[in-house]
Amino acid sequence: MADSSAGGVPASGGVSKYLGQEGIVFALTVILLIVFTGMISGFSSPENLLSLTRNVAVLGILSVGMAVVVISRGIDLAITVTMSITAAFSVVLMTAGYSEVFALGAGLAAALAIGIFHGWIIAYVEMPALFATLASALFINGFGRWLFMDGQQRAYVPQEGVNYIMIAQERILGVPIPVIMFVVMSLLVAALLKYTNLGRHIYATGDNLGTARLSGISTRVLALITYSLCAVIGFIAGIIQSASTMLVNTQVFTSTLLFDVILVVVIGGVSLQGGRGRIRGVVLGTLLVGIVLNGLTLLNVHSDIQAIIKGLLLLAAILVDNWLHPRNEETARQGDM
Amino acid sequence: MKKFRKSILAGLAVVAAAGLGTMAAAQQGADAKQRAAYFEALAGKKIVFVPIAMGDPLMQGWDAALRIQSHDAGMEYELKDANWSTQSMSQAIAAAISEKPDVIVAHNINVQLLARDLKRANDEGIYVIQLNLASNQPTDALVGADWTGIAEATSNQIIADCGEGSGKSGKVAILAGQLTAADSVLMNQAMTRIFDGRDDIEIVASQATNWEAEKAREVTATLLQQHPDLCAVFAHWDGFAFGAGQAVKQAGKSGETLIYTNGGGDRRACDALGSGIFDRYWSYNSLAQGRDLVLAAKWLIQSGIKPGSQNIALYSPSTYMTPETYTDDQCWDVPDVSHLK
Repeated sequence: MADSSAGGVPASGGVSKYLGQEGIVFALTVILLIVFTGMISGFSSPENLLSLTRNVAVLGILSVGMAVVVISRGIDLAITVTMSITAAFSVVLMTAGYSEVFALGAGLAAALAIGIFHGWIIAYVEMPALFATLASALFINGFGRWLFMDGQQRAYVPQEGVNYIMIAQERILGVPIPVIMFVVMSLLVAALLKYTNLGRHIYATGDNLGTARLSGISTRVLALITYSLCAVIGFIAGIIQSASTMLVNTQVFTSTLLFDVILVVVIGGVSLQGGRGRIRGVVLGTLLVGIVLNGLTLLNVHSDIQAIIKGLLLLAAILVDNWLHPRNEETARQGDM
Repeated sequence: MKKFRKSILAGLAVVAAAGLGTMAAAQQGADAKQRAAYFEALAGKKIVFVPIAMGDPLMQGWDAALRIQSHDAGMEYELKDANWSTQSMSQAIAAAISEKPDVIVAHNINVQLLARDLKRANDEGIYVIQLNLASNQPTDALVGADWTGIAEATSNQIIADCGEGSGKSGKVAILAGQLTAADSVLMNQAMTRIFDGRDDIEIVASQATNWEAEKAREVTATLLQQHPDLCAVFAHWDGFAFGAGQAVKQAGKSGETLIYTNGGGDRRACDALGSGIFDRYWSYNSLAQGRDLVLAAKWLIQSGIKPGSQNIALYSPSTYMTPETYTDDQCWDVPDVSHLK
């Protein structure tokens, strides 16, 4: 079980012992902040920092959900599809004249159903998470568009009579509500992971499934819970995004958002081999990506170059992950990423 | 005398009627002949349409027009949706060529991808009509928005709204779908020609959005933070311009930072003009473009010319709309074509 209770402190020696991946990400974040501040006037103004955090709030919330699943040694490649299809479901119901509360409740229920389905197919049918959620993403996207999108790619939020959209329009004490939601979600999930039995079981299962099961943890029920949590968090992200743009775009399926979520989770020090990582690292990873995107946009760097830089960041993070947590016979498994 | 005059008039009337009757009969004969030839030429001919993606009114307008009018003319019609994937688009075109239809309508995802395939289609005797987004390879016909003309009109409007004498900053942000797509390539060229050498206009950013409204919202929000006096956002397509408009609204800049965009002019465009999300809009009416497409296909098939032997351009007229000037009848609703599927 190594260091699961400490959550993410690397076991190997050398420089990493003192620095750790979170330390590296933190240092990189600070360095980039200084560099961009030197290059762009007003970059580190409170307003710009809020703006850049607001822009990555949806990404951050999705990454927190993904982190829970990855720590338990799973992955949810359907998270962005769950986000768009469940939010679209709510929006379509609102357009059809159902009350907002009912529509949001129905979207939430749909997300929960998707999460339970993922948990079931992975833990009970024992299909590798990678393939199960990839196939499920295709299925959910097609099924949703066929069932209630009428072949449309976008669902538009009604122009009038919808109150939930204020989450994207209003601020509390000058802070945009999506940023507050990101902070609250991060704190809640971090507390869940650190202070509850459920959290400890998630780390234990991710660290060593067999040992966790022998120790009496019901790992199958745990999978139902983690995938449901991830899907519900996806729904919340989708609702924020729909309020921001006044539409839900199911094209998100083919966008780079899923890639960005994995990027943030891995950069944040959540090992793809499970059992390691903290929400603090995910928040740092989100901020790092936010700073990179904001700075490069303000410097008007070509989007292809931005993609190259994001790709290099992900490669570097995976390299650091492998260096800090080398694979061994104990952790390597068929179907692993 | 009266009687005599009457009978002459009656006689003249009979002669006139007989003459008209002969002309009508001749006309009827000519029409019947032409009509028969028209249906004979078109009967069973096949059109394959490969759009970048379905599910947007822009593409649905084209699809509806193609579906309805090919059905009316007795032609076959098939849709192969590339669903935003360059790979699917290559495969769809390859599959279309192997089916040997009479006409392929290609909506190019970028200027390079299909160039060779379209040439091959022409070589194999298939007419190729390119729609809205042309490739580097000219084919029989191009039906599409006049990107250069729209960009010139947009740029001149930006100068009027934001340039010298307007009291505004002259700062402009450009949002493209993909910088390598034909519309963005042509619009950027035209805009650069007009803005070049002007001191009163400054392009503060030119970013690709991958046609996503959320990305457009993020970029616009970021830019508004750094340039609160941003005057114009030129979004190359209305599909993602919605996101840019929301960013302006959420920053409380409605009416100060103006959204310039263009698109197929479906109902959403009028809604967005009405709610102040768009400020300047150029519609190329994709439903009408659908009619142009079928027209081009019918003409090519009836002409019998060798595929690839000429290159006709049919640019769509565009309508300029603002929140003050637009009328609801300038936007259209997607026709119900479920009975034809």
